[in-house]
Amino acid sequence: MPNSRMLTLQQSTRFFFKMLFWLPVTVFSLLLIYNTVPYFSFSKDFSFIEERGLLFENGVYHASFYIHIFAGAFCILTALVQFSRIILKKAKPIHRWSGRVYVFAVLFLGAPTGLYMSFFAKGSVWERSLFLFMAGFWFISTFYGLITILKKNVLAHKVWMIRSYAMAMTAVTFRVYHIMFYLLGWDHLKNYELSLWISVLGNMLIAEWIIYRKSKSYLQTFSTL
Amino acid sequence: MKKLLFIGAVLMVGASIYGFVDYSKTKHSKRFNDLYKETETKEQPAAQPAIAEEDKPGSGLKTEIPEVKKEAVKNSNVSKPAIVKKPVKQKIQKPRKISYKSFSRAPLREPVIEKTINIEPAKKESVKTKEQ
Repeated sequence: MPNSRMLTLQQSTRFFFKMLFWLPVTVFSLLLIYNTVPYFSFSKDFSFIEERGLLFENGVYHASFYIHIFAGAFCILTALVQFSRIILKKAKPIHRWSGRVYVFAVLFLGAPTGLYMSFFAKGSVWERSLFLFMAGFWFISTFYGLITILKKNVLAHKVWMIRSYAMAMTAVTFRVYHIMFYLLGWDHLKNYELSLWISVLGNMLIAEWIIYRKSKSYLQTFSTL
Repeated sequence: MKKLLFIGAVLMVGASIYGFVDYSKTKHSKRFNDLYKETETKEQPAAQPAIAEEDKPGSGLKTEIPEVKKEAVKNSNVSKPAIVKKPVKQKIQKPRKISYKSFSRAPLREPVIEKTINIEPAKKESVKTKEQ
């Protein structure tokens, strides 16, 4: 049986690694939201919009873009509080309401607009297909996350929501890789494509690894009984 | 709740159909095909170290030639327009720096600054004498 000192050491190590994960996630998520806000001046003086000048002439694409960034900002902001155990235990209404906002933003705004815009995404057919997959998987994982909690299946809800959040976080991780490769001196298009693939596949792998670890510890509780 | 989920699914199907139709309409236009190609060609000069025309290997001599001429002019006592003191414009590629604004999907471009340098012949001579 582990003694109290060992338990304290384990707890503090666990806390340290949690902070190592959540601190950059929070900082980069807030930075993304902070950088999204100026777009709502509806000015065209942004290099992202300038680059896609032709697409922004299309009213549907124009509207989709603003809806997508609005929904995306809400998703990332609300998702930050969703994984907090303290909020989940002590303030369940916050979890429920922010969850509702997240699900609404994904199912009705973020995913459909993302799906439409993915047809015109930068890169080759493969990158466009990846964007299509992202939008589809984001919708499906959120959809199942909602269905499972309505059926009171908390474990499956957690699993699907981790997958959904991994898809939402590709926006953040993409930017991190994009800057990293830029500093390494890679040219823009190569950098863009690789950052995209690594962010999507990397996030999916990290999500599956977290799910595996969680399910492993969950299964261990049965063996100790 | 089921109705809401149904609306979400309809939106996804609608977006995929409309997106596909819209894409198949626009994919034949030349402007759309050149949309991201333009950015590729635009970035090529930025990726290479930018050198102003005046600073190219052959043109480096051009800046010094007028100085010789200046001496010749002084000897002949004939006044000529101030071609000699023409400042050299140099495009310097700044080292890659990032700010919080770089955290976006927009293409990251390397900042290139134009710097004007006045080359004074007197200084060069003094350096040479020191070396000797």
